[in-house]
Amino acid sequence: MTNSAQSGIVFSSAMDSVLTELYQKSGAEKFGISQREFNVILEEIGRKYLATNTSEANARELYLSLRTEELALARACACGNENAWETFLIRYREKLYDIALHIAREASAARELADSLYADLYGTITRDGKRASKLASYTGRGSLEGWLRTVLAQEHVNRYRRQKRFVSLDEESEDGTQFAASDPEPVCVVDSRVENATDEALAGLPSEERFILASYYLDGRTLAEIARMLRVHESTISRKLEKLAKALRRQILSGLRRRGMTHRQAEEALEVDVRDLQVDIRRRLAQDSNSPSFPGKKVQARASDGPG
Amino acid sequence: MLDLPKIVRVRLNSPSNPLGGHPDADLLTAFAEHSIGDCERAQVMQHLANCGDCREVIRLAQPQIENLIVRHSSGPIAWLSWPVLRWGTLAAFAVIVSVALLTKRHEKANLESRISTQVARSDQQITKLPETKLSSTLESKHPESKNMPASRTAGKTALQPSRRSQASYGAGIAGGVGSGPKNKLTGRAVFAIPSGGKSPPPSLFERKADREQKQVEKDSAPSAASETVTVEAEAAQITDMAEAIPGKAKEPQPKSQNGTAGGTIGGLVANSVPHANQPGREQMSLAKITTIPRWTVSSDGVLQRSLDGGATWETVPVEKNVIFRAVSVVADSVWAGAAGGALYHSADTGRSWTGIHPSAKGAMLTGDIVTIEFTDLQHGHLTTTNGETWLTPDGGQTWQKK
Repeated sequence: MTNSAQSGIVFSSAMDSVLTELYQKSGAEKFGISQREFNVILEEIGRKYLATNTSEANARELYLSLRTEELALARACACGNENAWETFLIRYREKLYDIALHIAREASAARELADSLYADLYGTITRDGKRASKLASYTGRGSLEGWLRTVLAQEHVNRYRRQKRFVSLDEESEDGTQFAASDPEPVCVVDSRVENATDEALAGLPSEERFILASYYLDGRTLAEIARMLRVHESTISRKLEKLAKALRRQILSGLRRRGMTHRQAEEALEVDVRDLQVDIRRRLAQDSNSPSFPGKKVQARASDGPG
Repeated sequence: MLDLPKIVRVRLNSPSNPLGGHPDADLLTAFAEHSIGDCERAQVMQHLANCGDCREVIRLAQPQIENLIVRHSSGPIAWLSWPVLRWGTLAAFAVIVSVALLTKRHEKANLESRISTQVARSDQQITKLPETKLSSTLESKHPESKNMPASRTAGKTALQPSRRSQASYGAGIAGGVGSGPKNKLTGRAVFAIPSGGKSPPPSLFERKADREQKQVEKDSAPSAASETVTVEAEAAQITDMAEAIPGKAKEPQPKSQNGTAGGTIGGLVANSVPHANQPGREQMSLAKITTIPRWTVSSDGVLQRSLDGGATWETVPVEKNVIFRAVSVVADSVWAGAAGGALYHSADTGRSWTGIHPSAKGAMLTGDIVTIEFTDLQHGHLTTTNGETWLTPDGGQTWQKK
């Protein structure tokens, strides 16, 4: 019996045999990682993703779902194992630049993005005299290649947002916006009943449907892109969107009628221009993650321009 | 697509619940690759529904579309795509029609040969043609025969015993279907059958007429062919009727004028029996085909096998968390390629699997395998997303990188 003190899981001998099997399968040995070190890595992952009093079955399920071979490679790289780095570079060097190019869509930006990630992966920053490699945070939940994609995408998004904060005057003059007058404050004609009825209808949506709506109507994603993200056919997304839009409209109208509006009034209220709506700009600004960072979020940007 | 009211877009953009922290890269990756449990997936989905940044990250982290196109166009999963199914259905229909036509033609050829053999046999013994038959033939080919004396024409009505076989053949056709003299098919029973009595020996004129008839038949091969076709049409009708009225064809012919009639038509109908059994043979061969395992890779990268010709598919466990992208099958040998250069081989139709790690001159296969093609048990090649082609000449023992 192995007692995992940190995670609070007491492993039976059956679990020990699972860990041993995973160790053998991972090929961690050839990168100089011992069984004990490997178990520590797995416990660390278990601590991160499992509840404190989780059952052994859950732990077993999690561990068996890990990509142990790629986990061993990443952790060996993080420890500075040369063999591991050689394997990593053979497998992912070219791929990393391809992914960066796919994300940044421009060669020099892609190279810069990939190089910065290489630096993070190698661990140029030191903590307590040790290199802190980003690969040490890989937990094997998804493929290593997928993880690299995600990390690159996150880095790209962060860079884009950082750059947006420092728009030069030259760029503004190129855009012809340096002397642009601020938008006049729109007249606020707000009927709280419309907002309440809409919020009520949206609150009843399952998160996946809300995700589809947001992706299509807010982010401007195509049906094909959403379908790829959810791994369904785009006709499925199309049908869902059609149904959702109809159902939402119906529910809001019904909510408005419950709030004392006639059908005609409710129909008219739904057609009110978004600029006439009161938007809580303070909350918007506080929500940094929802700031207008990306092209295609015109609605969001416009909403943020409204009066506070 | 229906447009959403603007108010809905605005409220959709304001998170209904506090976002909290963003999911880490591992969770987002696992979400994108569909390798997390339902509970965690629901949590991540809830975050994504409210977080535009994470939606953007998920979108950017999707594999390049070109790779997917290559995969879809080259992988076995492409067999299940709609255009392929559509064209496949058309092709299958064309094949069925052509097989039916060929079968029909084969039937016709069989009948034709039978009938021509019978006709040839009886022709050797013919001294006279039956009245209507010969007269119509002669009239069509030799108009001068119209002017024959009545006695000559009358003389033609006499049949030699040997000629009766042909007459009985006609009667056989007529009677074989179990219909009376008013039956449409009996219209063909125009061969006059004398009622008893000995037939006189062939006269000089008769011999001449016989020669003429032979000459006519030689000259009028097309008409003979058309005759055959007519008989075939009748035979087809007989077959159809025999099929439509099971057992009817086998009924004894009560009014048969000749003992051979039943036998002749019996032969004809019996001839159609194997064709009637044709579907049975097809079913057997279909059953054989459906027992051959079919392999595919599902859209979410799972290796699947069907033992019933594609009606149902079962997941073939190879290794956990491997996203398969291509499969190739030669006899019992199955090769399956996955993301990250993972290659597996089964020599026993998927019962046991061996991981293969191709390497050549220090280089390892690392790219996502998008196609595998084995021409036989030994020779095969695979291609990867990074444009590499790996070949093996010895069933995966050694590999060469192109």
